[in-house]
Amino acid sequence: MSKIREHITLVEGDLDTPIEGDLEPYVIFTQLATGRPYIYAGWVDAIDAAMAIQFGREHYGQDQKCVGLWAIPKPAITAGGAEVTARGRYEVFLRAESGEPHRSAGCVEAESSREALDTARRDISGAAEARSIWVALSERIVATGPDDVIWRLTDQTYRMARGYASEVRAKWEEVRARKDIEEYEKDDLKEMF
Amino acid sequence: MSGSSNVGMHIDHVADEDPQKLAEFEARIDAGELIEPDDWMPAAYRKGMLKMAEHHANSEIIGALPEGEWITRAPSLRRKLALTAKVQDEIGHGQMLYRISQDLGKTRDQMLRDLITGRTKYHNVFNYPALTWGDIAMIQWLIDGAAIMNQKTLADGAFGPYVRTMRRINMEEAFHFKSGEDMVLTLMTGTQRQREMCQEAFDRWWYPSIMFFGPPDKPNSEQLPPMRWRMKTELNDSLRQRFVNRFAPAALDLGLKIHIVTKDPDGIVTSKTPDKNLRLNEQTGNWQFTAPDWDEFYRVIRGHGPCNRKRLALRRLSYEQGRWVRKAVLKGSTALPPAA
Repeated sequence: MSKIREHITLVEGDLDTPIEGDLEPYVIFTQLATGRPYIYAGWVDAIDAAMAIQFGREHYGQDQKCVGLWAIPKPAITAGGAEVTARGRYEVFLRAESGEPHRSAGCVEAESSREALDTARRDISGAAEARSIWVALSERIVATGPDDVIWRLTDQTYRMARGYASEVRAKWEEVRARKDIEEYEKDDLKEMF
Repeated sequence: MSGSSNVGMHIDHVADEDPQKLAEFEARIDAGELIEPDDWMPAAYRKGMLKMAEHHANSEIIGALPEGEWITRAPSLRRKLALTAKVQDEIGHGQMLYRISQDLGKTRDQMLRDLITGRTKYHNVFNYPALTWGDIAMIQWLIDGAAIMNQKTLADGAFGPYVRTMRRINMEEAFHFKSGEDMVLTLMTGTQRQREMCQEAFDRWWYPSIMFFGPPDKPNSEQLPPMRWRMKTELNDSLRQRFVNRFAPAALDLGLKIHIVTKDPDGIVTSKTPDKNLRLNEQTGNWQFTAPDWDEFYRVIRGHGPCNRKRLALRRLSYEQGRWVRKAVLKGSTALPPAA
């Protein structure tokens, strides 16, 4: 950052520009290995699905190895609230325990989101006991492709705690060994003289 | 980074709430259940969680400013990559926490505007300057260390979206802390000049990190809504003691000296004396230390810290300079950047 930025004068008072709108919320699910469920990762705000996927890849796809990403616009998710009345395939997400993230658990064919929830409770394993069920029309889900590389293949250890573990341990040993030598020399000198 | 401990939380009484629903809500919290956005909650709880999440979000994006200044001056490519990733993480935390706040009823644009016009606050600790690379090491070691301690207890809270976000944030904070520890160790095992730089930065950051957990608790804190409703789960003073127990002996092992300092208005240390109260109490197992200057804390929080104006000025400039981008994205128009 340039030094110029350190000398900006604070403009005080209200802004004279009108309030702007917000982007749309999308929920992002990540898949950690092929064939595994898609797990709730969090939300992003985006103008459309393409931006949501791109943002999601950067934001939720880089903390751990990730092979696939889903983005779903908030209004397309039903948890018993607003009903979607469209015939089709609905993806089902279950929260097994209080506070756990939702995970994809399969899909059902239904006439509406309400029917999808009922069918899921009957047909999807674990749904009847789940703490919360989300359904979303499959066609509203935007996904990364099978050949997309989300997790970067270059060395990422500089952005992970384990990337520092052995260096930190070695340096602590050096620090403590030095301290031991100093203590030893102190005692030694005391006895010698 | 950050953490919300020092947000002023004055929750109104709940006399207007339906006593039946309030009792059910409190029973759920006592049973360790998580509250989700669609569940019934007292209006004061919604308002309090919004204030807490918004303050936390503000802290994340302002907290990235002192560190962002150092990306171009990082001493090696690896450190530069790590610092870039860390700053990206912090902005990402802000994005997640603003999302939670939006779901509680306030638009993001309103939050960004309230921040730059001084209607809302961010964490006090970011009003101190990062003068050398040593400060960057100390921010990552002490402040991120304090943030992890605080956020681990916030992850035991009761509001589902906030709890899940804390878990995700803590995963990334572990990297920030470890790389900070590595930086401090590197400096303290380095040359005489590096050790001096590290000590000087430590002198600047030790007391701000002790104050990080917020002012001393009120005597009845555990009965007040923020803790009764598990918006926060541990007292400021007990977090502070745990922090000192963890970091005072580590600093001494590193060869750092723990000082009480006085600073000028720019945050430059003008005098320092050893903290004579610093010692391990064998009976309690706690490290005793001289209490921070709480007058300084309140002075800084009221806007008179070394960097309050600088931080807000840069954030406000960024908001204004980014306007054409947001306009182009939101309206999908072909709004052009201002002429160079």
